[in-house]
Amino acid sequence: MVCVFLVAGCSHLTSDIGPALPSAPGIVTGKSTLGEVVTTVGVPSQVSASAGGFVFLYEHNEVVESQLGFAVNLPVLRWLKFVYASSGLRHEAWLMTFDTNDVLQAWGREAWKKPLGNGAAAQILITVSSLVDSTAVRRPASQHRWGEMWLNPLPQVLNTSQSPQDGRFGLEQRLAPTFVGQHTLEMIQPLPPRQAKKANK
Amino acid sequence: MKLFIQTVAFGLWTSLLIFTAGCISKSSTQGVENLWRADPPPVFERSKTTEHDVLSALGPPSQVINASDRTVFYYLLEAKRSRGAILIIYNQTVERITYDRAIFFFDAQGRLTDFATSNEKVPLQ
Repeated sequence: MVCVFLVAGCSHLTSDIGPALPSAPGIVTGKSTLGEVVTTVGVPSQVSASAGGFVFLYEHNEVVESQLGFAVNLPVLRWLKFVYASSGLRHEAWLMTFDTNDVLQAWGREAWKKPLGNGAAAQILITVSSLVDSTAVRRPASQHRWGEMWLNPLPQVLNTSQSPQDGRFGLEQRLAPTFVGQHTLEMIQPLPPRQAKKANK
Repeated sequence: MKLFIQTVAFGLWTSLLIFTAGCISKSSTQGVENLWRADPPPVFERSKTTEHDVLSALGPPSQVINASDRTVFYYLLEAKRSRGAILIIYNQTVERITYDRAIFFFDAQGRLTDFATSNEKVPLQ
């Protein structure tokens, strides 16, 4: 009974984005070809042309949010729960470059786990929603907007010819900020969290 | 009487907490139709299949990449599936985003040099 009154509203929310990357990919720098890589490792998350050939990016992200909540048996307040949330991100990425003969020139990988953020809220008892903004990780793949980029408002559309989303001018990881680097000339102002969440849906 | 009403209200509220349970299941897809998962799947051969053959079989790609004298067709279907249980005391939701992809590399003459489909699959609807 104590559990019912005090620990009401504990939640566990997970998001698994993309396939996990193999631990031993079986590829050799200077030997493996582009065809062998896409056959053994799979189709990359993003592809771009580069000065010497192609660049591949493979990504896997996992977001885990734990919420601890409690409720009190008092008038009105009994229909609410008070929640504290903590979220973590597990990230894996591989980057590969190929020369003009489609031979693997170089590749590097990163794998880390870090806190994504935390939050607190008073919610209606039956509500279950994420309190940490993870839309940057969970947003739709950039390929869906490939043609639509040309319909962006000014000055963003002027920067389309060097956008990493184009496929000819490099690529970027999902977590890369959208208002620095090659995006600088787009002059996009960071949106407040609520608007950013809406825009990424 | 007051004690009785309080006891009943307490009982109802406790029952609500314990027995009210809900399930969530939702899914959505975005992207092209993954015709490369058709049964039977379209057949592509290196050095033989042309850009026209691929476009005829799969339709327009999600992205076309121009790399000097090479062309890449990138097809993507993204499927998002969420499931959850709301048990008031403890809730759990699991979201899985799956990418079904196919990639085709062509030479300057528009002949297929390499291609692959992803290990992750979304059933063709």
